[in-house]
Amino acid sequence: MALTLEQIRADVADVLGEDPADIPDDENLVDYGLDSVRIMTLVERWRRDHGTEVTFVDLAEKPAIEEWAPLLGASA
Amino acid sequence: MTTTALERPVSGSGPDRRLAPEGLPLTAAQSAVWHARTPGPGSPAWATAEYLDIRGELDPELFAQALYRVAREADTLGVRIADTPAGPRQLPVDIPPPGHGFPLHTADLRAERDPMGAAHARMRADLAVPFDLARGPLFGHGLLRVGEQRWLWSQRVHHAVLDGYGHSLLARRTADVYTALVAGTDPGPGPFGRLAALVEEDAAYRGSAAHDRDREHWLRHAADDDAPTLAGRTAPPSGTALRSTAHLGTEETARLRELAASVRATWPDVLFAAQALYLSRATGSERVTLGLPMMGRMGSVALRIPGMVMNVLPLRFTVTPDTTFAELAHQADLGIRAARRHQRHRPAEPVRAPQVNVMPFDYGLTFAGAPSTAHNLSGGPAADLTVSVYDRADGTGLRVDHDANPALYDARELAAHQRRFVDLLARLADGDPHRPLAGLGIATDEERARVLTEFNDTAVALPPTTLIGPVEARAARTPGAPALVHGDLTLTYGELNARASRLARHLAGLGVRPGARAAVALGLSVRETVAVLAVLKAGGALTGPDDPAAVCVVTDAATSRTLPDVLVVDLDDPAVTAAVAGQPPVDPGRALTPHHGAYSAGSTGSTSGTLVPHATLDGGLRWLSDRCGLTAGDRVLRHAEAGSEASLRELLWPLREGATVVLPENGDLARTVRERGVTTVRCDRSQLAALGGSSLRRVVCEGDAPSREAVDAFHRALPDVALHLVYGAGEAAGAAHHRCEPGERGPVPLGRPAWNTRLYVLDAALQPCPPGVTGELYVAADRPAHGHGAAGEHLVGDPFGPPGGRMYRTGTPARWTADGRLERPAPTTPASADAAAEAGRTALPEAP
Repeated sequence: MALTLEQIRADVADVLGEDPADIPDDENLVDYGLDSVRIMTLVERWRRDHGTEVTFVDLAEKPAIEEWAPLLGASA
Repeated sequence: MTTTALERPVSGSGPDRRLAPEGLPLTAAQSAVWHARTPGPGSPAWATAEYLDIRGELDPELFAQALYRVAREADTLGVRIADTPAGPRQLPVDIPPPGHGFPLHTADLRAERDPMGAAHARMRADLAVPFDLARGPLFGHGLLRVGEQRWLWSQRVHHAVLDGYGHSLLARRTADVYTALVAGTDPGPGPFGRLAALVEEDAAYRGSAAHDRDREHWLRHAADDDAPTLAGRTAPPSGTALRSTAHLGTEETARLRELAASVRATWPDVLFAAQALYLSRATGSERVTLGLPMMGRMGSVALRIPGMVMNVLPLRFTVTPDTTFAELAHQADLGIRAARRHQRHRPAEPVRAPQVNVMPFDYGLTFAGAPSTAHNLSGGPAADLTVSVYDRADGTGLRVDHDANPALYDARELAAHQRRFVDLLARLADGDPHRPLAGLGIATDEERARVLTEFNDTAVALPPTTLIGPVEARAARTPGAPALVHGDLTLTYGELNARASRLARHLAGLGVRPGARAAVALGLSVRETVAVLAVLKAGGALTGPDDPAAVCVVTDAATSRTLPDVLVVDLDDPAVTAAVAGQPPVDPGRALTPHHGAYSAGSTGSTSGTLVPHATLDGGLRWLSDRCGLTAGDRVLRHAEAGSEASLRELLWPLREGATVVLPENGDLARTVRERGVTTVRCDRSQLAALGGSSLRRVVCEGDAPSREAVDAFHRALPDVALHLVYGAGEAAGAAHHRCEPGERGPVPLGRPAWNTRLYVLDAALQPCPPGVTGELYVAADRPAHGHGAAGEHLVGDPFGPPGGRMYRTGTPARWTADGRLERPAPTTPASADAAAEAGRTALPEAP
């Protein structure tokens, strides 16, 4: 099942312990507490649930939802 | 390059991406290594290294080709570092191909008896060879065959050019290139970013507003200068770290993750919180700092650059007995989030606190189908202690490496710290994270049983005796033996007992009897000695002359005039001496039991102190005799201030054993010892140096333990004299014994607990400290309380003894040795500025 922007936001909010409404698409998620452990959690979750092939480096390079969406093949 | 390799259809050796000849300046991270002082950057300690254990077929020629290609793809590796007029720069070096000087050490160890052992010896030997910074290159490889289907590939790189994340980038690319070469396909272009981008990003950051913001942040949140460490001291970082490894199984790991979820934290937060709790309990500090290694690559070009980027930041915790684990995990979460936002700024002084380093990366690389596991070999200089936690690639749980500076920890201590940390994790996972942590000690169940029960196995059934009964029995058995010597005067047991009996009968007529108190206000003398024995013979308890409960005060004419309104027995009064002389020289009748009070030290002008029973004092003397071996042939100096408990022991200890009491003739201890053939002296540590004399056989040093220097000096001056230490004063008097032996080193022991006495070393939450961990010493005794005046506020309930028991808080820091002796930790040596400044990175891999 393909990822949606909404699902990405929900998963990010989940690993950060925040409300999805508080997670902006265009800001650096490091400022919201995103770290390598949480990125690895997302990489594994999306590989398992959605068959994505993004790597840690792909996500860590530009840690923002709008940057991730094309890498994850997500649409709004 | 070997001929074999040349003949292979290799698709080129890849592009050469060397730096431009003029080179590049160093980044801030590299400068920190370059400017390190102890050890300097030329030390082999700065090597970072890991090895991959590869299981399967491997073509060593193609592997060498892959290494060569990757080395040329990474321009960060092909450098040397030298001072130039423009400051230190990294300059390009030639990397020769395999067989022509490429730094690769190969060996086939299959014929060795222990191939793995031989491989580790070679890897260790490689690590001991320093890099030549000015010449380069600053990396080296090893490829060791240890089995038909097993190879160890080791990679060591100077920390000035690579960190742990960089190692992982190189390993991954090497696996990809080798796999492609074996398949005969093109490995494709190198994925690495250029060193120039790293240097550029670093320079841009240092001139940015973000840099100023970060600096402001760290000025407010700097590490505490006196942040505690488990070793309690610092030392210059060592080249090789001591390592202890443990594994957390799948189930334990799952429980840790559940614990993390239940407190809305990550499992690394839980590991930090647990280590903060452990450090706090093990050091008795409410405020602790951990070193937080940061890979420093989020959102950075450095994500694709195998270089040196990592940073270690301080992470501070406050741990009180009321703190819950949920709160601690929250502190970790908030602290790490705040640190992450300011992670690029480097502390002016490297953080020397114990580090926790969590590696969440999958390291399950395959080499043309051959699987591998990665193992860290060295993370650079070991400053104090680093706990590295790896999420194992095969999903079987966590691997925990405790790496420590061998100048500060020995293997046993390190293993104990690790065992307790893993045990603490399990108990945290079992417990309620919202309850105060007060009930959670760091000792394992086994250690708890050892320090509470095994080390305190002191129960000895003693016959119920009074202080005076054994003395009277001696007088009856050996009336002609010398009991008291003062100058040329010697009183036999028979004579001394007769004199004391006469006075006792006189005192009994005045109301001195079991349950009553009487004082003796006389200077140390034969008369005073007789008076003390007389009060005890009458059944009275000895007390001070200002105790309002005293029935009478035995004194002399001069002192009687200074005493308030009290019944005085003036031994200078002819009427009194006549009355005493008129008494028969036989023991007075009395109904004295071992439970009656014998001595009170806590009386002041308006209040009476609690009485110490006969049984307590006599039990202490029996124990002392057992430990020190006093016999009837001994002559014991009685020199402590008259009226003190020590003075009472100096009198009754020898008399209950049939030995002779010697009174000093002047202030010169050594002279009295020499002239009167004294064999035994009880003293405190301030008097040790003044002792001497050829007759001396044993010295009993009471109170606080003397210094190591004082003990060594004693052994040198008096090699044939036994030195016994009896620890404790006041309520804790006679709590422990140690016989010093020449050649002992380290802190002077307080010793092992006395009979029927339990000693506890407890942390701030009153939990028992394991051996080696300093806490506060508490004394619990089955004997009734000593009852000294100030004891009340220091008496608390004993949670480990029989119900209703009490323990006395000494205020003394102490710790158990592994074999059940107590010792006082050596005073903390102030951290040398150099050691503190240089004790930086120990961690190779880094996250979050």
